[in-house]
Amino acid sequence: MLRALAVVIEADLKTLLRTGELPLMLLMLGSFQFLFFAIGSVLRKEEQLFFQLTGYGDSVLYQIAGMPILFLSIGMSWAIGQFVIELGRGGKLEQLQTTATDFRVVIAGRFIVMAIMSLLYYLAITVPFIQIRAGPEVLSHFLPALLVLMLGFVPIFLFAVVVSVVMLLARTEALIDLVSSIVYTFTGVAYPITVFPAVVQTLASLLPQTILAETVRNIVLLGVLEPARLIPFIAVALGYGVFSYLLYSKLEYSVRRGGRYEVVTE
Amino acid sequence: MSQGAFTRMEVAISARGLVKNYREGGLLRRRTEVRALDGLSFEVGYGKVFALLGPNGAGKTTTVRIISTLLLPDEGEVTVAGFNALRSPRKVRERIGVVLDPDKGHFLRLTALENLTFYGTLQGLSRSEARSRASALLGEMGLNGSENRMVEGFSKGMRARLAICRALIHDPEVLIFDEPTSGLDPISAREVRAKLRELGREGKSVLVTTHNLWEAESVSDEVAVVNRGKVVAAGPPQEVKRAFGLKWYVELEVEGRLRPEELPWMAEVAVSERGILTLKIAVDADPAELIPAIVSELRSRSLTVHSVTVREPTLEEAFVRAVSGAGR
Amino acid sequence: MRSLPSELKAFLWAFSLTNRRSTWMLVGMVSSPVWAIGIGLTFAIHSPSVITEVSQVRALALGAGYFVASSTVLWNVGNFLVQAKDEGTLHSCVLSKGRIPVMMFSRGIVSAAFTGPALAFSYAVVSSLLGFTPSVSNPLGALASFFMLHLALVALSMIVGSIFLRMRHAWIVINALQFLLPATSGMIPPDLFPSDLRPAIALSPFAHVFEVLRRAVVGSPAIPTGDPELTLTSALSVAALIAVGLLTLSITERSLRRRAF
Repeated sequence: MLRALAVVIEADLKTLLRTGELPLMLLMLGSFQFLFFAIGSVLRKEEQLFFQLTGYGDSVLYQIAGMPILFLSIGMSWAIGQFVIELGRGGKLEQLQTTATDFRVVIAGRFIVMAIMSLLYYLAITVPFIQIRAGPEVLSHFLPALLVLMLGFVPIFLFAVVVSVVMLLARTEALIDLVSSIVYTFTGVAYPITVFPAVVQTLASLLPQTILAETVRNIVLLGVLEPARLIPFIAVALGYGVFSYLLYSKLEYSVRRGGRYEVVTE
Repeated sequence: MSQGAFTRMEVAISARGLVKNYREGGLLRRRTEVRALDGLSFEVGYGKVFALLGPNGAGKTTTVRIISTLLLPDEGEVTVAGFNALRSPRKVRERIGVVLDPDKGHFLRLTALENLTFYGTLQGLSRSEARSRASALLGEMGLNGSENRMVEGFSKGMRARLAICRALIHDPEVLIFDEPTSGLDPISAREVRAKLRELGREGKSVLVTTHNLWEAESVSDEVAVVNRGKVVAAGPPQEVKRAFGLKWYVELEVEGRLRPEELPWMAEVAVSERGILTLKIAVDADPAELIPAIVSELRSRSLTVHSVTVREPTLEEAFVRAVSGAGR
Repeated sequence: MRSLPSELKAFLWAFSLTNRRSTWMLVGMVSSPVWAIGIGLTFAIHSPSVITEVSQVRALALGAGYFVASSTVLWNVGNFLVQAKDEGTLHSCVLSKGRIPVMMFSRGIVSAAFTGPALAFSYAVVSSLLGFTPSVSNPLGALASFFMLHLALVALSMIVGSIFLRMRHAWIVINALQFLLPATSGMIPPDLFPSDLRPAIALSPFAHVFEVLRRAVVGSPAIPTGDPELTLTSALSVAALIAVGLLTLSITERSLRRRAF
């Protein structure tokens, strides 16, 4: 299985780099981060009010520390979703299903590739922005933040699998737009979710990005890692694990019964 | 094909001295120029089905695109239905029906009928005219049960048939098909071939490119073999085969005593285990008139003739010779 | 030119059917206000008092709606040539005597049926969520100025659509442009910018066109120009953009014939 995984990772990395799609995606997300950083830096600030609302002093830093979670999540959902769809359209999915390699190994390969890319992105884009704004004193916070981030890739990946499977079952890739908008708006990556009514806040806490953004931000900006925060985080990760497994099984059954893997339309 | 074989009025498509170069490369790669067409010329008459044959990269699709007004050549002239395709593209488009990629060109979220109605109205038909013509064409092409289904649910074969309907919606006088049967099942392909022949009989001019040489031979009145951007052989399939000196073979199974050197023709002789002789005689042209003479000659030598088989040279053999440069 | 009305009618009919049946459009009706909430709050949070003042909230909600509108038009119209080329419908339409400028213009007109409601819905949802009634100062003026803004966006899409056709990865530019365009032309209420930066916003022709809509909806000006001058500069900007758009597409059509469609 490990051998199959290595082969999948190698093929995937080569394809992503040669088509140029992945570097471009990372470049685009980096540009967004720069754009938000630049606009946020010039806008008028009410630091006192912002502190009362969030417990943080700098709204620009607040967003720089949180936004990567959004970008990584959208990137992961895009990468997994598009991957499954493109495989289906190109007939490779059927081909893969006829080999001895479990399709989950292929997906896991893509996850590892995306996790590597996400870490590179965080180190190359996010860390310098935070450094510029916050100064060298936050440098020591990055290592624990990176460890939590790596842990956070698991529920974010499982979330992406759920999204991909739902897209395949619903037979539309337009859902990625809705999912991206929800993740952007309701996970507190750019502003606190406390601005929303209580029911929205409860629903938002079921999204792994919400907990991850706040945890990573706490470590990077305040140097605080509360182990208690990790408990809901692991619970959410497990929940997505079970949910994505059940959905995947349903998908496999459904497409085999339908007799076709090219299930997604425009 | 002999240039100028038609009078002016009979020529539907005329391509003269077409040259087209493509530039490849860019910022990061060295710029290179690839010559796709190198002085290509041919003519197609009305009431003819004309097949353009050639290996991959020979320049067939570039030619078809130039004739369809989608591409400008670097040099040369193209006239379609009496109009200059380079200077009056819209006049030409009124008179041509084109299928470039049979699988593509449909609005997937429109039904078959809606697609055809749309293209018909773009071509200047009224909505009701376009609809009734679309219904008739869908029926002719065996899609009448699927007219109100969205095209996204269509199979490749259904899409290809719809593409032909699209090309015919405004009843054009010139039809251009690029690989119309590629990827179709045998029944759909046969229907398409029948349609091509029918269009030729109706007096339309049909230009078709294909890799299928048997198909080219069976549907076309004339063919042109294109290689490296030039026409290397052209004319009716029989003439092309003759031009390459391809032989017809008459095979006879005979019984009795025979000394081959006494025969008035050169013949290869093989003997089967049962003592039956197989004579293989090569001739330059259709041997239909020769066969009675051969049979009576053999009978006069007290031989019993069991069977006579005539093997015609194929267009494939001519194609291989033309493309490989083996002499005429 | 005799066939122009029937050509326009054919395109409008086909595009309205395809748009109505597109899942992207259906999903977009739900995701647009969600994006609008997120975008609005992202900029407002730097000055949290903004979300407690009625005219500021309306300006913010309208700005978020402007983002939704520009994003929709850029994807639906600007990206259309690339999509049509991939699907082969560009060839088929051109071969059926369809003209690319007419095709793009029709696409733009049809997209108003989605952009208008998406903008209005976004404005209403963001205002309501922040506790204010989504009222409109001058409904007729708002409708007219929306169409002017929409035309400007369509014209821009006609210009950039030609450029996208030459690019291998147009999506990356569309993604960036959908933020950059509204962010530099009024999406973020000018009050949120420091006073010395505010005049820079007025440099974009889109800022003038959007300002007409803002005055009709919110009632208060953000660019210090009188109503008649603003309307004139906006109308001229839109006319110039359309002229450049049509010209670009005609040049594109000719250049496509040289380079292969």
